[in-house]
Amino acid sequence: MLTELLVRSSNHHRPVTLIALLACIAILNAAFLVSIIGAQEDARSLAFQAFTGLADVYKRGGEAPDLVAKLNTAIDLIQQAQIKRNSGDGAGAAALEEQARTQITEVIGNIPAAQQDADRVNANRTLAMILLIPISVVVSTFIFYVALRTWRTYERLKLYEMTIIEKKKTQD
Amino acid sequence: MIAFAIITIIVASTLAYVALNPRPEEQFFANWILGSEGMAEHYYPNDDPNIGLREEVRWTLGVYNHMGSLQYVVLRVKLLNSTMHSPNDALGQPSPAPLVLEFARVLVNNETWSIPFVWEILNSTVTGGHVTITSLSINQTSLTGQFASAVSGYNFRFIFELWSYDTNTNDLTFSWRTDGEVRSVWTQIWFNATQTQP
Repeated sequence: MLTELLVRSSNHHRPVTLIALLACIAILNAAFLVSIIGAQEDARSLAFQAFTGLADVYKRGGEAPDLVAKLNTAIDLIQQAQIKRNSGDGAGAAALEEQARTQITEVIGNIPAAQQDADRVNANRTLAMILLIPISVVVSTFIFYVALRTWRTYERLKLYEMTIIEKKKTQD
Repeated sequence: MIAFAIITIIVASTLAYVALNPRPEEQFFANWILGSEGMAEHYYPNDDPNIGLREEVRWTLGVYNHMGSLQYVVLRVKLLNSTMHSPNDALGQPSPAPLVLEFARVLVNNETWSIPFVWEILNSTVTGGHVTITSLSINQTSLTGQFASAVSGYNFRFIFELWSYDTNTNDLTFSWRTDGEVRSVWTQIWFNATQTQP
């Protein structure tokens, strides 16, 4: 009875069912595409996020060449994934994107430490520059003082020597 | 002695200030194309700009970062004919032509990036005297689509636009501001695709 009802119903509403089926396929397809684009955008957004953090490290006066190299490797993986996806290899693309995401997450995880290092390096550099002023003043003044004293001593000795010679000449 | 100490203080303070606040340099990107031997010559096989089907063309693209900071750069490749709009330097607007491929990398200040660009036309169609490139291979990656068409296959061009990531707008941008001026960087190279048979 139920089967008969279903068959009758399906026969009666065949165009509606077909449209509903097509709509379901379209929705699933769109959802699949959105998930693919989402995965791509996710990896790319993560790369931008990591770059923003690294740019801040460099702006603070620090350097993080290892993290930059790792981010570049991840960017390469994202591009390879895009090529694979365009050629129809969705599974290969997803695997590469996962690798890229892992690497970028590691980079992002290391950024706070790199920022702290950059702050420390910058503070040390500023401190060294600030200390350089009194140190160079003291050292330069000391050198100038020693040179002046040496010159004066030399002059005094020379004068003393001349006085002795003068005395000897007078005695003769 | 006191006068000497004062002079020393002034000199040392000046040196320290200059060291801590270096003079700002002009900020710019540079972008270039080199031929098959890495020089600004021999851009086409046998120096003939008429590129046949499956004829390999070898170029090296170059990007130099002199923006004084870390930069996320993207080199966008577009294929145009002579009538399609080039990027607008005055307004800092990119070409409206569709993207063929892009290369991305993070560059530190003063870093140069060399990108091998080996390409060939895999397929083209002729309709009403217009040659349309429908399949390309770039760095061994096959790309298909209606890329561009040109009358009798003359005057196709590759345009290479340099985009960078702007941390203020959180988006890629084609132009930047320096000394109150809008700047952008792109290069192009022309070729013909008159031979539609391999």
